[in-house]
Amino acid sequence: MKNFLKQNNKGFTIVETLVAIAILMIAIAGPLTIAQKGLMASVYARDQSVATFLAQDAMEFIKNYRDNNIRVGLDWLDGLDDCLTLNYCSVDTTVGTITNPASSVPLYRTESGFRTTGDARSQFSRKFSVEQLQADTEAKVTVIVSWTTGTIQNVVTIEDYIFNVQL
Amino acid sequence: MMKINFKNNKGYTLLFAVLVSSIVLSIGISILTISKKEFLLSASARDSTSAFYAADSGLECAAYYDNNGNYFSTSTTAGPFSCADFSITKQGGATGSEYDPYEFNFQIPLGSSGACSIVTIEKYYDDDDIITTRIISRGYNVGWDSVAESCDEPSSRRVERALQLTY
Repeated sequence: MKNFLKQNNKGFTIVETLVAIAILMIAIAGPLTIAQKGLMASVYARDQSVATFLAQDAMEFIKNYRDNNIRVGLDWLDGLDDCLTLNYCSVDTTVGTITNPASSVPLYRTESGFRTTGDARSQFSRKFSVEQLQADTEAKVTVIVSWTTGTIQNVVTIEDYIFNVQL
Repeated sequence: MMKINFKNNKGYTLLFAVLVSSIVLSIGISILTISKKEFLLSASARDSTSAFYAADSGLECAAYYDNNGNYFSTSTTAGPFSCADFSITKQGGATGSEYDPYEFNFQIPLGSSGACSIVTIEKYYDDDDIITTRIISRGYNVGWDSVAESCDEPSSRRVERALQLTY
C-alpha cells in the first residue's frame, strides 16, 4: 500500500495534464466568449441609439424646413423637391444646408455636433428622401442612417408623412 | 491532524480551477445581462421613434383634411380621403351632446413596417363658446392588421406614442 501511494504521488501523467488543460480551456474560453458577445451587443446598442437620434435630427430639420417654407410663403416643399428616392439628399443640421449627392454622406464628429464636414469621421452615414404622394398636399419623408459595427452593415430607417398644413 | 492536512493538499488545484472558472463565468454572464438590457433599451428608443412619427403622420393627416375640405366639420361631409396611399373613410359623427357635437375617428397604416395610427378628432365648444378642434393621434410602431384594417394587432414590441393638437 505504501509503495502504491508513493508511485501515484509522482505527479500528473502527460494525458492527465492534457485533459486538465482542455477542461480549463473550455471553462475559461466559454465565459470569455459570452463576455465578448455581450460587449459587442453593447456597442451595437450604443450605435443604434445614436443612429436613431441622428435620424430624428434630420427628420425634425426637414419638418422645420417645411414649416418655414409655409411661413414665408414659398412652395411648401421648396428646396426639398429634388430629394427623391433615387436621388437622396443630405443635410448638415448645424448650419442648415441641404445637398443632393444622391447617396449616403458620412457624418463627422465636431464640437458643434455631427456635421457633413470635419476631421474625425464617425461610423455613421445619413441620407433622406422626400417623395410627393399628392401634389401640394402630402409627402413621405424617409431618413436612413447606416453604420457598421465590425463588418456588419446596420440601418435605422424612420418614415414620416408630412402635409401642407396651413392653420 | 496537522500531518494529514499537509499531506492531503492535492485538491487545491481542483479548487483553484473551479474558483477561477466560476469567477470568469459570472463576469461573462453579468456582462451579457447588462448588454441585453442595453440592447432592449436601444431597441425601444428606435421603436419609440417610429411610433412617434406614426402619431405625427396621423395628426398631420387629420389637421390637413380638417382645414382643406372640412372633412370633420359635420357628419355629412364628403369622404373618403387619402393619407399615406390609403383611402380613409372616417367613423363617428354627431354625438348628440350640445357642447361637443362631433367626434370622428379613423385608423391608417403607415409604410411597409406595420406602423399605424389611431386618430380621434373632436369638435367642442371651449370656455368662451368658440368651436374648437382637438386631434388626438396615437401612433404605433407595429400592429396594422391588414385583414380587419385596424391598428390593434397585439405584439410584444408594440410601442405607443400619442400627440394632441388643439386649435
